[in-house]
Amino acid sequence: MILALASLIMIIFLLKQLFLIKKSLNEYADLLRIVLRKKYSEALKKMKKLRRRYIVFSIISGEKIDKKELEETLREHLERLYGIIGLMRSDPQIVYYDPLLKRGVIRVRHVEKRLVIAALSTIREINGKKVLIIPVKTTGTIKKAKKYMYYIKQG
Amino acid sequence: MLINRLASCVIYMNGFIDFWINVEPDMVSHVVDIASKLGYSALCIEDKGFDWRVKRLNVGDYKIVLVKKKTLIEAGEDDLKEKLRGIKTIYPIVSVKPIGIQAARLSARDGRVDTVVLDKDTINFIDKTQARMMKEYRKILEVPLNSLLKSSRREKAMIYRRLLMFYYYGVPIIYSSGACEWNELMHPRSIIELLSSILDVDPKNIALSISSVPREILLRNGVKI
Repeated sequence: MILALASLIMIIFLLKQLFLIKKSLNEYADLLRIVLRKKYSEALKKMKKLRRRYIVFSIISGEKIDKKELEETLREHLERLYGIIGLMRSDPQIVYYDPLLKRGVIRVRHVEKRLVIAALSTIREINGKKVLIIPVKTTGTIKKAKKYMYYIKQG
Repeated sequence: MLINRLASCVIYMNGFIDFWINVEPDMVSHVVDIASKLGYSALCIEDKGFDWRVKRLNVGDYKIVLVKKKTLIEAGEDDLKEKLRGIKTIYPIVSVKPIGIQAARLSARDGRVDTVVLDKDTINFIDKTQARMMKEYRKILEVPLNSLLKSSRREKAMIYRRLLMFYYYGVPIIYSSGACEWNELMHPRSIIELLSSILDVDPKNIALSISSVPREILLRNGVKI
């Protein structure tokens, strides 16, 4: 009888201890969750800081060059030089192109601007038309890039 | 930071030099016009019956210097020796494209030769011994980028390995366009970005290879820029 009573007390004590441990574990888990959520949100914030660069370029050619043709050729050459990873990382887009002046602006990720400048020099023909592309200036905003584009015209 | 800025200013102050342009005589004026737009201050043009040795031109506001250059393609030592006889009186710059081991070794030790060309035809003859000899005799390696870009995948890899070896041995290198047409010219900034990303070399080193190193050779041969 005494043994049974003692074992019952022991079981109750152990159960209480288990309950306490579980509670503290839950608290730790909550804390961990908060920390992880904070880190994830910080990482997301960092992800948003994708900076862009705008490369002002000028084309020397005797023939008329289309914007679409130019963009396709640039992507083709970039892929040939640095592969699909280089192309995806740099993601060059011609945001502005003046066919009369034969000047334009390419938007790229700031880390990979070098790849695009290097790829521009390897373009020698666009659909059979001989061209030479000169990277004139790299800026941080499109406003400045456009300003520079027309500034050269005046100069 | 300031010192770096100053150093880069000193590098670019002298202007860029294209050490090898291989165009037809009727294309020269057009090429000079484009080269001045690209920011080159001197061009070495392969001789195709020009009556001048060094020519100074004014293209708009720019001043550009044209220098006559001869590239000898030889395999044997005797043939090369014969062609080198009295060559410096006609041409200020002499390069050798060795297509034989003997010609390669002779060009590394001969004082009349300014640069040794490395391209797809000469990769097999430019090896470790050649690099050591070129370092000893202070010869300069010239790499035409047109040939590098036009070569096959295997040849590109071979040229890449040799370039790294020459950097390891500390032999000065010159990058020239080797352009046969006007659209094969390259902007100096593009050359710097392209080669620094491919070879993983400091961009300043590449800038020196297209500005100060060729300038030193021109000055050594009596051409003022």
